[in-house]
Amino acid sequence: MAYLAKHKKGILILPFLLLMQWSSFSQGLNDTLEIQEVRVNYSSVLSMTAYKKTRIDSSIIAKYHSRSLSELLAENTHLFIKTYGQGGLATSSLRGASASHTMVIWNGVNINSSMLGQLDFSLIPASFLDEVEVFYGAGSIRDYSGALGGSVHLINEPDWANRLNIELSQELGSYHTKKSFVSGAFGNSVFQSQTRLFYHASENNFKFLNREISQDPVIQERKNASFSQGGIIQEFYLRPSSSHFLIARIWYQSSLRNIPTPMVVTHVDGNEKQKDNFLRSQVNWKYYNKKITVNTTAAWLYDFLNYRNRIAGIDSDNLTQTITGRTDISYKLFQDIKLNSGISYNYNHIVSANYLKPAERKHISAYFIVKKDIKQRLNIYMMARQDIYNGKMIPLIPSLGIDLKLLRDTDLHLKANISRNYHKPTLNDLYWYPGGNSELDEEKGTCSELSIDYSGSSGGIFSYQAGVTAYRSKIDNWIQWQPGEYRYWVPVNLKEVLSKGIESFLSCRLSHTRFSVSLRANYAYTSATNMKTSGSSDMSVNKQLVYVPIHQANAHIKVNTVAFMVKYSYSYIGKRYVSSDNTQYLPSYQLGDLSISYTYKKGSRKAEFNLLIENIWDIDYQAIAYHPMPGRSYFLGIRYFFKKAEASRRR
Amino acid sequence: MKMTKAKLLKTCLLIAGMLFIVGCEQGETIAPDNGNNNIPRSFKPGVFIINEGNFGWGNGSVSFFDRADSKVYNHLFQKANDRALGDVPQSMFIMDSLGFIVVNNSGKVEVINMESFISVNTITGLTSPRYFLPVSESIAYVSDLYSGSVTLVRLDDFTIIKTIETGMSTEQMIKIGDELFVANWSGGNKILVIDIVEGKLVDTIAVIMEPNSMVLDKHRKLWVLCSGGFLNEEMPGIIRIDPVTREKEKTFRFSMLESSPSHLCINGSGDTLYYLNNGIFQMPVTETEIPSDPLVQNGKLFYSIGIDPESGIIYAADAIDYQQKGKVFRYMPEGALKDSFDVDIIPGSFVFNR
Repeated sequence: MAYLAKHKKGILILPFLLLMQWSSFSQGLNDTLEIQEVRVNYSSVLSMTAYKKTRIDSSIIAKYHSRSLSELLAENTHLFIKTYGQGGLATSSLRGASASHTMVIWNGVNINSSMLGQLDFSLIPASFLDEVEVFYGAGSIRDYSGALGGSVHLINEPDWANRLNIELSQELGSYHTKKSFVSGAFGNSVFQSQTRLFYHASENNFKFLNREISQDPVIQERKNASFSQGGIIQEFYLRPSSSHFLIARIWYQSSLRNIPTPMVVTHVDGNEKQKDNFLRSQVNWKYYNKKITVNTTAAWLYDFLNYRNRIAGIDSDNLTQTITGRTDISYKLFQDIKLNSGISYNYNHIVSANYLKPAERKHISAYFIVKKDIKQRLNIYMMARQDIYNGKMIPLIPSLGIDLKLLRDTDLHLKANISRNYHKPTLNDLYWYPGGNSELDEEKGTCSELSIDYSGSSGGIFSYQAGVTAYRSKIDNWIQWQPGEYRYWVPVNLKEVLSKGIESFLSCRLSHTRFSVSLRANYAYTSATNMKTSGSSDMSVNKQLVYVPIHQANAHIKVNTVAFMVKYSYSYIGKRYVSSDNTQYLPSYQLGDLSISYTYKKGSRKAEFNLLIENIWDIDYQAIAYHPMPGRSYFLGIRYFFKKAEASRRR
Repeated sequence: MKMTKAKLLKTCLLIAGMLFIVGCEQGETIAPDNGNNNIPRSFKPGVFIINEGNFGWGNGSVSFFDRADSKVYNHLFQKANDRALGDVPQSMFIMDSLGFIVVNNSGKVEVINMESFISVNTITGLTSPRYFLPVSESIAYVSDLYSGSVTLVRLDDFTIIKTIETGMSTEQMIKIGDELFVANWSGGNKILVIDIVEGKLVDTIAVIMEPNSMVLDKHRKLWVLCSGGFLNEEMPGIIRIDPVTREKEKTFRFSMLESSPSHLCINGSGDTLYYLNNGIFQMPVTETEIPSDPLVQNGKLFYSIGIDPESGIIYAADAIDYQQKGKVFRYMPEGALKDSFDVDIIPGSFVFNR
């Protein structure tokens, strides 16, 4: 296997090692979570070390087992998540780009809504994921075009050492929140099956101080914010011989939520609701030997969204179906040259109450990557991707990246890359009735970044990694909706956005046989400004985009002993402008979460008791203007594990 | 570094030139008064500008333009009451010492003291209120986008008396004699006639799809501007109605199905109509044909207009990108740009206070 071969030779390039370390954190203490010997996901095809990436492994995800991807990303990456709170819409902004510029890839398949272009991160339970990777900027070109901000890769992996694994988990929390999770996995070294089910529901009726409806502040209860989500994901993995993998995954989920009003709006019971049902299925065949890996995937996605507003008399059904097929080949031409190429086909079909007629899009995309390794010190990546939409070619998407190990014996790397990328308008941009504008041009992104990453360890008990990235990214023809000549809203290629910023991270860990202490921190500085004036009165030029914080940081400190774990998470969100001329803004806020868990282990059984206190300092804040957020909240959970694994690892 | 004289001169010239260009383009710019607790000593005479804000963002506000000393005061309600006005203020009506601000998506009407701008009461229990119109000393009507009714409100304690079912959306209202003419705008094509004495719906007049604005001229004729529908169902038009006979006397049709004219206004003397159809159009009530050329067309998509009943000056609002402070341009009745001033997000209507 390509991956293992590299590993043995100890030439695994730094960022990968760096990120691998997350995994090693968990070893010994978290025995359910081990590094897989054979990785089946797309990322292993070619790890794009010249491009900035954050990897969140299963040991981190495990701490978010009852929460959504939205919280996982907000607290562990440089992504900014714009959220209406628990159960409410959560979308992302990466390096100042819009929500539709973050591509979300589930085991190689893009799952962004083709109507809106974005994905609601609140609808993805962290417990359904084994690993998450975030590519900032251009690294995503390997998988998909159009990620002008970046991409989030959701990864499911089998554990070949597993024989039988059962997990039951129940959590109860403030505001009548109930979260249940069941998973069962069984198999051997040839076949593995994993089934996971979850159900989250909450009245979400927290109290908040409303200063906006009367002279004196009033304590009110949040109304109409309840939600329920339930889903199942089933995975089958088959390894009939040492060079073949067969994978089938199916994920069904149904969710219903009430949409609360801003606090300045008198609430009307049950007025606004949204229902999201989806079915995502994929089959994957992977062939590999020492020289070549062939990875073929077919997927069918079914997405149903119903939005209802009783007072406004809206009851709108939107049905999207997507068929995707892709094949990726990676080939080791010489010891120092790797080739990676692939082609994908994507078909979207939408039936929407808001379109005049069903809309469809056919998208073919092909790419080619050459990776050259020079003296095991310098890695050069050359990528090109060509997209064809409904038979029409868009310009070529090129990228060049280098990863240089600066010192022979130290994991100090300098990385740089430059790319161009294009994002096609969403189908709503094109076909929404009225207003949809079929004349829209694709958004054009150019992006370059420079990083320095360092990692090291001393005496096997202390290990650390740190990195700094500076980037510059420009998006031309940025699409924005605004009232047009005929008074309804029309999308136009309006803005030109320049983002510049610095992202840094630090993580270190002190491990001892009886305990470990780890610290992780991320900081992002984002200057994202509109460069283009829409007329002489336009004061938005050179101003920060709305809802993009200039400063953002998060940090975690975790202390583990054999039985206890204490973790404190801190996050800071700087002020966000809410008007494009930057005359109005929401103030910054800082939050702290505390989680404590106790594990009792007996043989192959394990019980874990968790207490999570969110917003421990009871901060009154707004993430989105006039939408209150809950104060201090408590969640108490119990998890039970039964695990039977192969005694020793096979390879 | 020292600047040489030549350089200094050049720079000065450059700045002057730039100022000149800006000046030419925009007329004189009047600076808003952004002082923290600045509320004008008197609201007379002047113009209130209702800034809708973004739907669902709760950032609506009221600005005031003091005509006497050309000063602009923004965020009046927030300053006077130390709280937000609400989500999408739609219109305002002034009745003696009281002002009524209809806050559409907050489902309420804020009753304010016209000396201090302090809220004295809040009329709640409304669905999606649009306009407020007192019809007597004791009763006011509130039109509504979604409730399918108009609501009668008592003016002494600001409680709801009753609703009159209309079965359809209601928008602008004009009182003519003992009758109230109500436009059935969203999705509709009628003018409803309500008998104020009896408090009931007595007649409907079919017009063109989506009558969005109405005025009464000096001959006491009712002029109705219809956009032709949100989805361009019909050719837009202006209809003149005799409110006594309820007959449609004349229909002026526009020539483009896609166009969406709005904001029909009339000057103080009641002889000249103004409306928006991309640019600002002017049309004497004696006109026999719809004007083909705009009075003001400078590439801006104006969001709303108002006509000062005393001076005839046209107030036209540019919402720019709908996410920043809008700008109000003042034009002379014959269309020449006078000056401009900044207000707040999405200036949607003007109320003139004498």
